[in-house]
Amino acid sequence: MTGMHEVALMDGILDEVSARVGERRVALVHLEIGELAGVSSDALRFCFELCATTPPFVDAKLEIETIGGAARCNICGVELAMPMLGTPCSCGSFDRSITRGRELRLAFVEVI
Amino acid sequence: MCKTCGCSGSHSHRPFEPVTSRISIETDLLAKNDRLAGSLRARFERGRVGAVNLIGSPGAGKTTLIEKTIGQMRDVPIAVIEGDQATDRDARRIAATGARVRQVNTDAGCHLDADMIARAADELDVAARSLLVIENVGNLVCPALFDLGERAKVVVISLTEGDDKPLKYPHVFRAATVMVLTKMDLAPHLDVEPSRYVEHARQINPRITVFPVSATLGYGMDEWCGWLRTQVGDAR
Repeated sequence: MTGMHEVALMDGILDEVSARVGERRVALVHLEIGELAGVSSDALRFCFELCATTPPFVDAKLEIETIGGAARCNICGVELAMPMLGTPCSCGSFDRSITRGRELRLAFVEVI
Repeated sequence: MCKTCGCSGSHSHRPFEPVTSRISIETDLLAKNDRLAGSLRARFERGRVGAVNLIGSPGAGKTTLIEKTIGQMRDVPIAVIEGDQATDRDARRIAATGARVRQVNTDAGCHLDADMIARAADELDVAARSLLVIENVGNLVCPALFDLGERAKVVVISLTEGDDKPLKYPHVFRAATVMVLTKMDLAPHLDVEPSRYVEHARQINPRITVFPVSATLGYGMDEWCGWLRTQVGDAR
């Protein structure tokens, strides 16, 4: 299931970019989205198609870099990949602190 | 001299190919909401207001839980912000208990955000040392992401929803401090094992505190209200 909080996020992204690019045309918007951030990249792409149709976004592309999830086990201390929440450590413990994969960043844009 | 543009440089232009330049932005997508939520949190802390953000599916029993909570905590000033896509039905239910309440309608929106709470809190004029209960829009997905300046997120899940919900909608269970398992009085009529809800929630969030309740029969309400009391006053 896709939550449509991605609409609200995309609104914010387009506002922020518009404020930063001045008169220039946007060619590319680059996001970094963590696997454990609770945001669907497909839904973001869908919202971008829908919303980024007027200047400065005409013909702009959206590029999403996925940041893999990782967590450190609070029981055995080992740090391992965590592709989804609720994935246990190799020692069997679910008590893990997320170290990577919660990123939700607007990294950069390319303008013409 | 350059043959493309006549400039004096010795560089070569590639005509008809636009030159792009990169603008580094590096902001968090939730930055605006998080900033607002931060100032709300500071404002609530100054007033010793305990704000809790109740999140759960439509029909989980959030409004009934709030009604019964108000009935049981008459000694604490309680203000309520009700979030729904449409209607003021929940606000009217809460107003009937005598508590101060504001309804926020999000229309197409699937969650409350910090700006909505800031405006509702202005209108409510929340008294110092109150409990501020925020009932989020019925939705187990989107509200998990949006900080409202609360002291704690509380996920409300009913026994009729199925014990796999924490695993299927993990983000809100990860973000919550407390899980209230409602409609416990229906256990004899359902083919469910309440302990499985707790087990699954703790696979997502090992430290989550659980209150099994029946708001209708009053079961577990003392423990739940006892925890709410710890949220009001000075931060611990």
